[in-house]
Amino acid sequence: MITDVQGPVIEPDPQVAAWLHEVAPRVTPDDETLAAHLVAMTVATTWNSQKTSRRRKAIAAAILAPVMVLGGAGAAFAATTIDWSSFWGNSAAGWTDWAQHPDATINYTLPGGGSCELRLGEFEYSPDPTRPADVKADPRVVAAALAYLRSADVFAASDVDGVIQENRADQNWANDGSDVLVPFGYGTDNYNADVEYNIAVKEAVQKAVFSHLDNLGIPSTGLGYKGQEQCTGMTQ
Amino acid sequence: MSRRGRPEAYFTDLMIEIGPELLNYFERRVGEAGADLLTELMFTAWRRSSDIPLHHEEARMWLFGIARNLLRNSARATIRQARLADALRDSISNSTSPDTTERYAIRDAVQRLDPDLAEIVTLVHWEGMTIAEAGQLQGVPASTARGRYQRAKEALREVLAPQTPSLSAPTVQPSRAIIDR
Repeated sequence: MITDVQGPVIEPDPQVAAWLHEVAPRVTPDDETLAAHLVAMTVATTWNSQKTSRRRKAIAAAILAPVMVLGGAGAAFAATTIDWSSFWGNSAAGWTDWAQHPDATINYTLPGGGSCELRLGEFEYSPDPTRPADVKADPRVVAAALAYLRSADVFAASDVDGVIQENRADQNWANDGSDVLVPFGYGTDNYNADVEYNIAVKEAVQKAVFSHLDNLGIPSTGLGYKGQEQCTGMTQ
Repeated sequence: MSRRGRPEAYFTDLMIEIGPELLNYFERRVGEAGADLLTELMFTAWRRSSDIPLHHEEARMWLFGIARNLLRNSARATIRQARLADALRDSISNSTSPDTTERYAIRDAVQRLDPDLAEIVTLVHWEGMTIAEAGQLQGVPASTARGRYQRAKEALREVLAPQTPSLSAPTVQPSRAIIDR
C-alpha cells in the first residue's frame, strides 16, 4: 500500500497503476552496462570540474621542480658504457598487436627534445580470489580507469617530476655490457635524462590512475593493463 | 561512505544507485534526450556537491528536484516544449508494445489531466514515489498531493473505466516498489 507519513493511508488504485503501466515508455534497463556508463559519466563530471585547478597545480609543480641539467646529463652520458636501448619500449616490429588498437594514448616530450607515444590497453579485472577478506575489489575498476584515461588529461595530472625525485633516492645498477654491474642514474657517471624521464612517466601515469580510483572509492585491486611506448629522438 | 572524506566517491555511489532512476525519469518524458539531461544533471549536482544530503532518501529527492527543474527550465527548444502531453505523444514509438485503441485512450486521458495531476500519477506509478514524495517534488504539502492523486484517479476512472475493463494492475512496477513504503 502507499502510505503517507503525514496523513491517512491511501490505498493504491490498481486500475490507475495498470493504465499507467500500459503506457509507460520504454526506458534503459538498469544493468551492468548502464552502471559502467554512469561510472564513466561521473568520472568525466568530477574530472572536468577539477581539471583547471589540477592543471594549475601541475604547472606550478613543473615550475618549482628542480631543473634537469641537460648539459650535465650529456656530459655524464658521454662517459657511460651502458646500452640504453634496453630501457626503451621501442620495438623494431613496431606496435604489438594489442597496441594497434589501444584504449588510451599519452604523448609526451623527453627532456632532450625527443617525443614519445605511450599506448595503454588490454585492461582487465582479475583480482586474486585468495586475497585476504579485507582487501576489497570492485569490477567497476576497469570502466573507471578507462573513463579517466579517455576523458582527462592524465599526463597533466601525472606528477612526473615527483616520481623522478623519489626515484633519485634509489640506487640503480645496470649491466655495462661486460657483465659488470655499474651504478646508473642521477648523480652517477651513467645518467640519461631521457631514460630517467621515460621511466618516470610510466610510473607517474599509473600513480595518477590509481590515485583517481582511490578518490572515487574504487579499489585498484585486480586491475591489470599493458603499456608500450615508441619514442623518437631520444638520447641513446 | 563519508562525503567529507571523498566527495567523488560519494557522488559516484549516488549516481550508480540513483542514476538509473533519474535516467528513466528523463527518458519517460523526453525520450532519447534523457541521456543529455542526465549529463546536465550530473554537472549541476557536482557543482553543488557540498549541498548533497548525506541521507540516501534525502539525496534521492534532492537529485529528483534538480531533475525536475532541468526538465522545466531547460533552454532546449524540444525540452522547453516537453509538456507531459507531448512526451506521451512522443512515447508512442517508445512504448513497450504496439499501440492500440486502448492505449491511445489512456494516453489521451492522461494528457488531458491538469499537468499537476498528471505529474502526480506518473511520479507515483512510473517513478515509484510515494504520494508524499511526489508532493515534496511539486513543492506542495502531502495533503495537497493526496488530493491531487485522488482527483487524477477519479478523472481517469471517469473516462477510462467503461472502456478498459480488461486491464489489470501490473505485478512489477516500472521503477522502485511502492509497496509498504
